[in-house]
Amino acid sequence: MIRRSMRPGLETEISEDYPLPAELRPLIRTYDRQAYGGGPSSPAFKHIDQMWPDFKFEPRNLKLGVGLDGVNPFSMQSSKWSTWPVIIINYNLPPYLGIKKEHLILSLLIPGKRQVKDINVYLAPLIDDLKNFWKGINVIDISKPVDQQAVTIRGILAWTIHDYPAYGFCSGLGTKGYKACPPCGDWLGSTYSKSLNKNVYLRHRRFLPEDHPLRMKSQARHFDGKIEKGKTPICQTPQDWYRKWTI
Amino acid sequence: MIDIDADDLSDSDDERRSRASNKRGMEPNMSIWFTLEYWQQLKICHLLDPMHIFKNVGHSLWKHLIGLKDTHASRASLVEYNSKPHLWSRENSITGNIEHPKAPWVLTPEEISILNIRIRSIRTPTGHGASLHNIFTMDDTALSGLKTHDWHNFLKVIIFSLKNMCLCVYCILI
Repeated sequence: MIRRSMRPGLETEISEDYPLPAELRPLIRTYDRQAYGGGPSSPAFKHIDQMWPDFKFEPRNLKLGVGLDGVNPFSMQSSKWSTWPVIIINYNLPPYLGIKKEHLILSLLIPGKRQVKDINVYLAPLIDDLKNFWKGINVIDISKPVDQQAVTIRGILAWTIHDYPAYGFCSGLGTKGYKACPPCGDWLGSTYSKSLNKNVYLRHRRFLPEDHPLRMKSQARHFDGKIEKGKTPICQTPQDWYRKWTI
Repeated sequence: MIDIDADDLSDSDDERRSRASNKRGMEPNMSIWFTLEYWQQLKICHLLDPMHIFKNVGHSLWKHLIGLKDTHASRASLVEYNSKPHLWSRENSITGNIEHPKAPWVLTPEEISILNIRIRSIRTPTGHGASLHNIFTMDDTALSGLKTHDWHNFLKVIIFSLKNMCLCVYCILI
């Protein structure tokens, strides 16, 4: 893993996005990327580049992320009021710039007496803008000669970022109760514990290889006293979630 | 009566407002992100903030290590799930009190003071986690004043740099 520097000039934590002196360059792993832009080296970003090569070859096409969570403005520790900022992050900027407040876009501010019940209503204008942005909007690039200034750029929303309660809130998937893990879906082994008065999620040994010693009878007393024979859950994809809603 | 398709209307505010609650082919509970045509084909749709999770896991782990989570209810849950029979609470035949066998991962006060000394002596390469030298309170039983980044350091650096702590964490996990 290449660690990313949040500050320019810190050579001990070398960022691949920071322009380095030529003598330092061989020290870093070779990495195929554009001269500028392109975002982090995440597999999800490479997937986007692969699916829609527009975003690989045109560095002016934006990859965006949306972050949302509830905050307490002015350090008020009060549960009577809830404020939800929805912030857009631009991944074409290098990481030491992209997360600075000058480059974060506050797109929505959702206030309310209590947490809103249906966030979809509030997100609808943002989604409309993103749909238009996906089709392409005409802008002017002043760094180019006058006759080449008009360009059409596109934008893609790469992901949303939040904590776990907000995950269930903004995605419409369950993050509480018996089916608390959207990637596991119905495969999640959850039981209600009477002594603890809450749901517990055991059966984590399913993620081990099938012949692992910890699954066997000799180690069962450390877990729930049983031999674990279950297979590793298959990760649910967005298509699976969509199918569940539409059927 | 004139029948107007909703798509032919201009993008008015009323339409925007009604679109999310519009049930054409959409369950009321469905996430609005799926109306983006590329959303289903993305590899990852939702990311979780790891710093937040590091903080919560660090809190929970520390409570395990100093024995705050070692309650009657947690011992009862061991009986409920037939787990770790050597740690079940049992009655002392002489005094008649209910006793809890000591859990191997709970640190004794001497071990906590050793941990305190070790944490004070840690020097990190770029000076991150510089506030770690005074995270213990006076009676050595609680961590105080840790911010989210300190919990991150606690989980990523401190626990895995101390051999005994590694053993304790291993005892919790197994």
